[in-house]
Amino acid sequence: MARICMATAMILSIIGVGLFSFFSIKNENEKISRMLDNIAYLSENDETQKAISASDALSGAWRKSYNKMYCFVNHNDLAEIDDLIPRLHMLIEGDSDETTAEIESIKEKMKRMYTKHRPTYRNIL
Amino acid sequence: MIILIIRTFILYILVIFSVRFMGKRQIGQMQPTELVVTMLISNLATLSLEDTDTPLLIGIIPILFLVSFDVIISIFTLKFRGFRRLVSGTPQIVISNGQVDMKKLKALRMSVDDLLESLRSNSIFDISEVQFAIVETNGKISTYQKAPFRAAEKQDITPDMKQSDIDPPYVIINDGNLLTKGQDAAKLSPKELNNILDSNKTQISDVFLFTCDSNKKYTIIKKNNHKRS
Repeated sequence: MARICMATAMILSIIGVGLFSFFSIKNENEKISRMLDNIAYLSENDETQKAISASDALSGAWRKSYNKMYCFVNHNDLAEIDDLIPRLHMLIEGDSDETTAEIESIKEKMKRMYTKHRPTYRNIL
Repeated sequence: MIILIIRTFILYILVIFSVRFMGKRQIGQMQPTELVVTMLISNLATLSLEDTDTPLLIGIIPILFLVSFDVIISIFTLKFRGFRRLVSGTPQIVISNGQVDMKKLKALRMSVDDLLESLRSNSIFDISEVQFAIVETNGKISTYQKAPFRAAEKQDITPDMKQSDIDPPYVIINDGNLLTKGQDAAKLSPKELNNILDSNKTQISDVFLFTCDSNKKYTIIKKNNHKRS
C-alpha cells in the first residue's frame, strides 16, 4: 500500500514539475521578449540612455531566468542566449545598426527554446 | 570530470532505488513489462552520463516516472486477470501427458533445439522423461517429470503408496476466482467442489488458492490461512 501511495505521489509530482517547467519557460520567454521589444523601440527612437538602462535591466532579468531554467533546458541553448545578451549591451552603447538584428536574433532563440518544450505532436514524434 | 563522477554517483543511487522500489521480482524472474522497464532505465541513466550539457533532471524524471508507472501497472495486473493476460501473456503447455504440442511450439516460435536446450537446463536429457512442460510468461520452462524419473520423496518409498503418472495439480480457484478450465482438467464436478468447500467451511470468494489433481488430492489456501487435504 505504501508503495502504491509513493508511486502515485511520484507520478503526480512529476506531472506537476513538468507543468511547472513548461509554464516557467513560457513566462520567462514572454518576459524577456517584452523587454527586448522595449529595447528595440527605445533604440529605434534614438533614446540611447533609456535603451542602455533597459539593457541593464534585461541582463538582470536574464540572469534570474537563466537560474530558473537551468534545470529544465539544455545548457547549450541557454549558453547561446547567454553569449548574446552582453553583446547586445555593447551594440546599444555603440549605437550600432546591428542592434535591431541582434534583438531579433535573441527573440528568435528564446522562442525556439520555448517551442522545443511545447507538447505538440511534432515535438513528441 | 568531477561533474561526471558526481552525476554517476547520483544516477547509481537512483537506479538502485528504482530497482528496489519495483520489488524483488526484478532481481529474480522478469515479466515482459519488467524487462522493458529495466532496459529503459539503464538507457536513460546512460543518456545523462554521456552528455553533461543535458540537465540531470532530464534523466531522473523519466526513470522515476517509469518506476512509478510500473508499480501502478503491477497493481492492475494483480487485480485484473484479463489485464495480466494482456500484459504478461499466459503460460503455455508445450508437453502434456508426455506428448509434445507442436502447434504451441510453433506459436511460441520455439524450435526443437530450443526446447531440448531448456530441458537440459532443467537437468533433463531425455524428452521421454517429461510428463508436463510449461513455458512460463518470463520465457523459462518448468518441467514435471514422469514418476519413475522424479527424485524419490519419502512417501514414494512407503509400500502402500500408489505410483502412477498423474498430472500435477491444476489451479481451480485463483484469488477468489473459479477457473472452469482447471476444474474440467482435474475432472472435478461442481458438486464435488462444493462438498470440499463446505467441509472446509469456506466459499469460492474466500479462497486464495485451490489446487486439485485428477486423484482428487487437493490443497486449499484460504485468504489469511492454509489447509492441506
